[in-house]
Amino acid sequence: MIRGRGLGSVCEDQPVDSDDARQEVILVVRPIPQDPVEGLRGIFAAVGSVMGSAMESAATTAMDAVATVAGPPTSAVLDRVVPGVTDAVIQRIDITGLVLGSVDLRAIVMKALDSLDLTRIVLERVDLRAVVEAALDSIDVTEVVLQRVDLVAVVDAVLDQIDLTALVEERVDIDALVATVDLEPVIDRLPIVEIAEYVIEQTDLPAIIRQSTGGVASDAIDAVRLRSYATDIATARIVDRLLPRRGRKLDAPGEPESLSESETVTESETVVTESETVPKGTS
Amino acid sequence: MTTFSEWQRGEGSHTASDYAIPEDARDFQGERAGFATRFLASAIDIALVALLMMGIWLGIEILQLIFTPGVEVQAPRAATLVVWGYVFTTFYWTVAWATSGRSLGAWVMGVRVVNRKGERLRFPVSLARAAFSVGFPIGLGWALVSKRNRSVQDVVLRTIVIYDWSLRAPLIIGSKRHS
Repeated sequence: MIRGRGLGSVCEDQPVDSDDARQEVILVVRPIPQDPVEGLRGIFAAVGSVMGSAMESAATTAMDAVATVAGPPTSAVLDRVVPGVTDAVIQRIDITGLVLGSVDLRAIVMKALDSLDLTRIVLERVDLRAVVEAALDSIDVTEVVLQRVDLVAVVDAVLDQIDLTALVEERVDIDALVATVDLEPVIDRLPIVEIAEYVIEQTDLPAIIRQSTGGVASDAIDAVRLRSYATDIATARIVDRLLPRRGRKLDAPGEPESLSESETVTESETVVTESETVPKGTS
Repeated sequence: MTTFSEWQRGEGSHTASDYAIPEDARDFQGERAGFATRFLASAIDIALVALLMMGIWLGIEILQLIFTPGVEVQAPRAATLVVWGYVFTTFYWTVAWATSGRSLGAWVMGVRVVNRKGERLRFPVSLARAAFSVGFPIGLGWALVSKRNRSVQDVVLRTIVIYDWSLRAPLIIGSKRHS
């Protein structure tokens, strides 16, 4: 008889009983190690494998114990009986309930998860495009965004991060944009006369005209007027010194001071002194 | 340089009526004119009237020599000159002050006569002021001591003589320095 033991193989180095013509071969079937199935199926497969190994180990131990006590002839009987018994036992035991009640599935799962690179597995095994498209087909993304997203905050954050001016300068054809603008309403809103007066004043156009067209007579008249004005100031100053007062009130007509009939001027009123009134050209 | 915004707010700006005025004179436009200027303006007007009367007299005499040869040319009597001088001056000032607000002398000296609101004088006021000025010329002397450069005529008729070098009279004349 050739009796072999091993992991799925027949061992030929066992003693042979020459008296017995019959050779008995005991085959022990063990699962061929396979690459672990990844994912949730792998987890359950691992759990099943552990449970199967435990049952097989218990059966093997029991068979070895019986074979040791009863001897080789008994072993053959056991080979025939034990599988049937085992199947009957398995059929009568709620293995699922047993596993759920006795096994720390959470620890097993966590350990399995720790040993797995789920990200890589998902990237390799899952058709993400199909998943996403299916998800997008099933939901109204616009409505979800409008309801769930703070668009103002998003836009503000985006605007904070980009240089909008540079972006416009780079991407927008401003000349083409301006070319489409109707300028007439804009011009209608512009104070053209004020702008013209401003330009005339800032360029001192009157002075240019006077210098180009003015004659000796106008210059002489201006000089006489300025000299006369200076004489007014000087005369008033002399008189004011003779009289006990500080200055004159030379307000313009149309102002409240002009409408009053009083000749008196309070100290708080503005007085015109020589330093203020003498023109540059006559001092 | 004054920006347009500053200019619009009136910072460092002048009105259109100032454009023809030299920069040195812009600040005191619209202020009450002093005695010296007003005296010179009146003197120019009186001289102009005197020249006008002399021209009229010469014209009359020339016409007499033309049409009645041999007539002796006589110098006009002083009383006649004074009376006609008063009449001409009153008429001249009335028309000048009631229209443009200034006579030739006032234009030369750059002054203008307005009422207390800065408006052109009405004809009756202008006539009264002209007659008052011609009949009481010494009243101008009060402008020497008046706190507001007012002559007696100004006090009585509530008129004002201002510096105004602009060629055209604005509707309302105001002082740039005090506004």
